Amino acid sequence: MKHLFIVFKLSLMVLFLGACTEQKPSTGLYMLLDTSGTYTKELKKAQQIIHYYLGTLGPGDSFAVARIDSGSFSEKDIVAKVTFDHRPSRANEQKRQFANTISQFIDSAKSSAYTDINGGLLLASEYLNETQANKKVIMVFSDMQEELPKGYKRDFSLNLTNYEVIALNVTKLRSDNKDPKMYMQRMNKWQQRVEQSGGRWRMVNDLEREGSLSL
Amino acid sequence: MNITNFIPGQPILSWILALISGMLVLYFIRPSAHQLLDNLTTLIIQNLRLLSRSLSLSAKRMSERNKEVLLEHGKQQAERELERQFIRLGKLVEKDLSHYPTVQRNIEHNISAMEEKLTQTSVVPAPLPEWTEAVESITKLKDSTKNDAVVGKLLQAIYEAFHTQQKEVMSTYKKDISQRHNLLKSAMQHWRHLLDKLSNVESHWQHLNDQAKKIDLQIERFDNMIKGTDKAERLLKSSNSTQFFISLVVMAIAGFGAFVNYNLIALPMSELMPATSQVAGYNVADIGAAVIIMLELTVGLFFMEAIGITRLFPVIHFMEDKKRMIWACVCMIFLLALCFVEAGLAYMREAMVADKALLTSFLVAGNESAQAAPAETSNIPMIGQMTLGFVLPLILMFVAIPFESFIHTGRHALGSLVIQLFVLSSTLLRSASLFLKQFTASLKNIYDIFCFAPLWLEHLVDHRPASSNASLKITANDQSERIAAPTIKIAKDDSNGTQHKNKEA
Repeated sequence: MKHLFIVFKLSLMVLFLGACTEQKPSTGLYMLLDTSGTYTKELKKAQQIIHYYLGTLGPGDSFAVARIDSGSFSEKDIVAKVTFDHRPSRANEQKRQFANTISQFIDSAKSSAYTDINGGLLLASEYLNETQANKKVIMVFSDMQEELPKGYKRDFSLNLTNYEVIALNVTKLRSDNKDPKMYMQRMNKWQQRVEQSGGRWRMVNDLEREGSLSL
Repeated sequence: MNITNFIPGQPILSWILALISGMLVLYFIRPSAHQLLDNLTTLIIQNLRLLSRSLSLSAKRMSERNKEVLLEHGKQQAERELERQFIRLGKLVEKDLSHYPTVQRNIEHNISAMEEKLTQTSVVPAPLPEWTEAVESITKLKDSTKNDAVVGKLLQAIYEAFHTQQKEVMSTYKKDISQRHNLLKSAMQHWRHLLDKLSNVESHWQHLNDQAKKIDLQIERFDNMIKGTDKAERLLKSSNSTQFFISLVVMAIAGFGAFVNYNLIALPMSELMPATSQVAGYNVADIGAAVIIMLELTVGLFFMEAIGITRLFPVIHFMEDKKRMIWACVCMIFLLALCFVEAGLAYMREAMVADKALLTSFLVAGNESAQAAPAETSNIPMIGQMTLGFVLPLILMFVAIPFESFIHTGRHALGSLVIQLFVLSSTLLRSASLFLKQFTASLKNIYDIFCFAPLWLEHLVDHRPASSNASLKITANDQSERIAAPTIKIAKDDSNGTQHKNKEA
């Protein structure tokens, strides 16, 4: 009887521990790479940033890289996506494969005629929702100048609650140089769009500044 | 309502009126206010004193209990020491007594050998030849000229024969003496042997005697502990404190060892357990590493218990010797298995670190750089880590000894600390009650200052010359009341005290 009681207590303890087990807070990172026009030349910088995050993200985190082209709301635009395995050795292998895929993409990337940022953002939010990550970050490596092909509509509302949208390496266009107000208006428009969708907006242009890329 | 408007247009008079009214109010409610203060103070003071007494009694009881615990622990220690001494003595006696038949045989052999030698030396030399009697009869012959020549020749022949015989006898005698000397010389080694054996026996007895003296001392100490003498308590206290601090230091060192061990296996544990799961904010892998170390400590503790070094678990301690040894073997097997697991984890850790470094170099400088990474790396860190992983659990096993000491002595140390805290709290509460008593008296005095004018007038009225006898009578009556009714002492005292103060003023 006494032994039975001990076994019962141990089982309860195991059950209690099992019930207490929770998932470690994970991070979901989705990176959009602008491949329009001359911005393709900036993709080498993007590769370095991707490598940086590959080194930073750990088991259980999700990472995806997609390109922004004429119509970005398509799974075909996802270059690579991965949820790192809980075993560090397997996760390292996944990182190598991911880096190779990105390298191949950057070597063979072609310029697109248009830039569909909103489509990319929608795809990113869908992907990150599926990962159920605790921290969701969308990075847009672009000049943030949206140009849509004829017939494409992007006036939908986004749901970016608990998302952080970071605009990276926002280069100034020739027209911005002529009239900086256009650049400022463009940035304000994106900030409002993100914040009205419930997300947080951040812009990082100095990529070498310490802590600027921290999640 | 503003005070200055009591008498419209007369602010000063209004103030004076307010002050006088206030004073009068204070004067009339003075006995009640004093009574209230006294009651409150008494209530608080009594509670404080009660608490203080209770703490003091608790400290006393704990002190007695602590003494009992200390003496009990001391008795256990003394029992163990006595047991050890008896075991030592038993082994010594067993060892010596087992040799005694041999020693005895040896001594008897030596003695018989010496006796034989002595017997051999005591052999009587051969008697002189019988012709000596003939010589004797010749010497008795009468001296005559007839016989001179014959006798002379005879004597000459005898003389020569005698000399020859003497020489022979002398040489035989010398030979015998020499043989006896040789025999005695050979007996000397038996003597030495005998002396050596006896010296050994003497030293053994001396050793036994020393052990017996030690046991006597232990018995004396044990006796003192049973009697619970102050000397025994003092000795135990000092010994206990020393042991407590030593065990604390050793356990702290062991704690650092466990920390090193933890860091050695925490990283590779993430390969075995899900690195993405957490319990109470801690990674399951980290908890797993900590559990492995705790298991090692537990198994080490059981092993030390099984081989009789510690006595923390009576169930193990009172097992049959055979079962206990089986238990010890099982514990050692488990411990070794854990050692091998740790060594494996240490190896895995090194592999993981290398892989991580390779990945970093790949991410920083590309595929070519990763391939061009130095292929020749030293195996020393890996071997060092594996050795540490194997040895640390075995070293941590010995923490059972200071742990036992810590448990036994910590009880007394903790008890002493609690007693000191109780005594300190009791003293503080008593001081607080004293302070409160004085503070209440001061408050009453301050209260009297606010209604000094009516009190002064009362004093003047009381001390009118015509009514001095009457007032004295009243005071005497008060005194008699105070003696007769001590229960209302505070109130009476206060009124008398106030009157007295007023008189002094």
